[in-house]
Amino acid sequence: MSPGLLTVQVLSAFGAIVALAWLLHEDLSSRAFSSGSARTIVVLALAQPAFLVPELIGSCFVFALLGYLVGAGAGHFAQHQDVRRVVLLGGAIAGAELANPTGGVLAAVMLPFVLRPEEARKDARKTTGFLVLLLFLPALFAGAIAYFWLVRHTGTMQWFASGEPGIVWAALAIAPALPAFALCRFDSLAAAAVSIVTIAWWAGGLLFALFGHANCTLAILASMGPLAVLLVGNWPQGPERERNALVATGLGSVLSWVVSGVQFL
Amino acid sequence: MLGPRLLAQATFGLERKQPQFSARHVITRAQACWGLGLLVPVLMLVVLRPGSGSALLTAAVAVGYIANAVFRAWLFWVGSDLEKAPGEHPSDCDADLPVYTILIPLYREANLIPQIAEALAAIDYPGDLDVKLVTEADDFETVAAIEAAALPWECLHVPASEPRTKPKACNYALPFARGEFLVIYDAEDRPEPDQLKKAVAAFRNGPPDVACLQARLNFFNAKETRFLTRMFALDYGLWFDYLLPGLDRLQIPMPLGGTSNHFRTAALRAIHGWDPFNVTEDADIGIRLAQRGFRVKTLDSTTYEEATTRFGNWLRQRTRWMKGYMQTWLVHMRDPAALVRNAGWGGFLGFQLFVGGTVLSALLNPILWLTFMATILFVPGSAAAHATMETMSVAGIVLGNALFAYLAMLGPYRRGWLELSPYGLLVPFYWLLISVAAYRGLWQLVRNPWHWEKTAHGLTRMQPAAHVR
Repeated sequence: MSPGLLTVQVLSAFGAIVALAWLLHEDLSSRAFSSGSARTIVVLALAQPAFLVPELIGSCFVFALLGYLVGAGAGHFAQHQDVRRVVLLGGAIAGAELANPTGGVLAAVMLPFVLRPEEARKDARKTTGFLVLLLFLPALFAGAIAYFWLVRHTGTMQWFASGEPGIVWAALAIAPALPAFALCRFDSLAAAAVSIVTIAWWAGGLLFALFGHANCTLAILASMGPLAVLLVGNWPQGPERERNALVATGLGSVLSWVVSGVQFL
Repeated sequence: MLGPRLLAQATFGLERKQPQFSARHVITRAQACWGLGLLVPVLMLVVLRPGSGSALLTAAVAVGYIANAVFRAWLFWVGSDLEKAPGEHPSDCDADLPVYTILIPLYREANLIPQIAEALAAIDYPGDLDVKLVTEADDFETVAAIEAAALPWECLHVPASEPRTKPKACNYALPFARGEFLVIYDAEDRPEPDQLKKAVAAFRNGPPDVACLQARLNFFNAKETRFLTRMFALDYGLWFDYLLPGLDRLQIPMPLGGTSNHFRTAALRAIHGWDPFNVTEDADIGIRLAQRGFRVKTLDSTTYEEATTRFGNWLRQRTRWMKGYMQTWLVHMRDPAALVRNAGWGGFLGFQLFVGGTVLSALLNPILWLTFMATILFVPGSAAAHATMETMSVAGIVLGNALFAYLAMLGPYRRGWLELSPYGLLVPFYWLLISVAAYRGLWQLVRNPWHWEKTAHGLTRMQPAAHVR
């Protein structure tokens, strides 16, 4: 990669990280976190080693953003359960599949059982209908990914593995999930949904990392930060909430640095 | 003496007063010249340069098809913004309710008279109801059934004449309407009991330029175990629960849907009623209201109809709708500048995509399939042209149909009819049937433009009251 292109990539990614930080801060503030705590939690969550490596910052940020969007989409749907959120969540999972197919598929398999609307819980045919509705876009994208992988011998995973930039692929990966940016407060069902996404995202990424794509480890760690903010934001209000949230995100960040250090050693 | 004058007024009133809006003449000379002017160069290109010409044409067809699907997706998105929906509450001041006219045009529907009586009896409207059953004078069976039922409502007999259409019957009844507001119901309709009260509230609380409210339509036999009724329910769910509200929000001229159109009677008279030569007079009148500076909005109340269960019946109905949309598009494109002036550029483009696009998509769909099959069987022209045709036809088929299918699946969500969603996967096949109807409609537009193919009702085995949670 030429130095000029690298600089542009780093600056763009840095700008995007700042924008995400602002979004996370606003989200926490709207959930009655004090401004100071919200700011500290966001800084701790986004202080990830991957964001300090110029060659990886772009791909790792996209990876983290996609995980965050799926989590946000799931939480949003859990709260509203209207038709728009079905589309948003389906689109977010579909977009996520481009970066983290295993994580996307895991989320797609697990989420519907938590997020089924009330009426679908009583009727197997309605459950089937809901599954078809939610999984249509992910299935379509899975088909497209398989086609490009098998027939055209190209895909997005190489980029995340190698750290090489691919603006088109990155845009393709993010575009369907972007509307999930429309965030709002989550309830407990939302917290469950975000937890599932976090687990799925982490497990999917880890599986990929286990097959020898070392850079993916950094990307997974980076993606846990924004998801952690979503999670702590959904904790029930109480006197200990802010302190616990600070401790949890702080520990997450420390863990991230330790694992990265071990990997480099 | 009054009868012939009324009949002439009902049949030719619009044509005499505003001939530019009458579908009696299918196409104007200028439109024919424009059409030929566009068609001839395209055909020459394909004949003289078959490879690149066909590739270019395929690309245009695919782009047009996808554009229509994307426009519908956008309308869906806008229309699905339920949180911002006003949601009318029924008027709670019963003493203040105005006279409301209900027109029910009937033709060969003697079997539905008991159902009409039941549906009207269920309407909760403490004000003065001015119900008019409108029949053709030579439809002796229906007339006899009405007399035998001894219904307490006025029955008007339209003298037999051509064109034998529903809008002509409605025009005939319009001078007799006493109501400040007027609604059209079909014989098999089951409106929600408080629909009229909701309409009064919506008219009174809304802007004064709102001349018409379109209630949502769906089917009481939506879950009948037949392919057609289920596909129809997906279709109506999408159309009336999402797409029309989307048009409403964006203030794009709205083609009305057949029944449950609530009008301010004065506005209806001001635009000279319906066009008796248009076989989708409902679609036309929605656009014509916009051309006259009125607005059409959606009403959050449902009328349940009967979805046809037989293919022949369905095909006749769809053919008429497609033909009517073609008529409507041609009528309002006689003077495109006037349409832009009256509806704005957004309204003009929306009209092209929604009314024109509905017909065009149905006509283009089989062309894409045929092109795709042709690229498999033959290699026309250069490899580049072949690759373009293959890529574009596949893109059109996959993207267009995937989007149409997904939208259809989302259609029943608002009503919680999730069990119908999987049938959306069959939309590509359903669209091919619609294409058959579109080509049939095109043929009829040339041969028999005003012919009204009657849809038979009363064929379902489900009871209207059984609709549906």
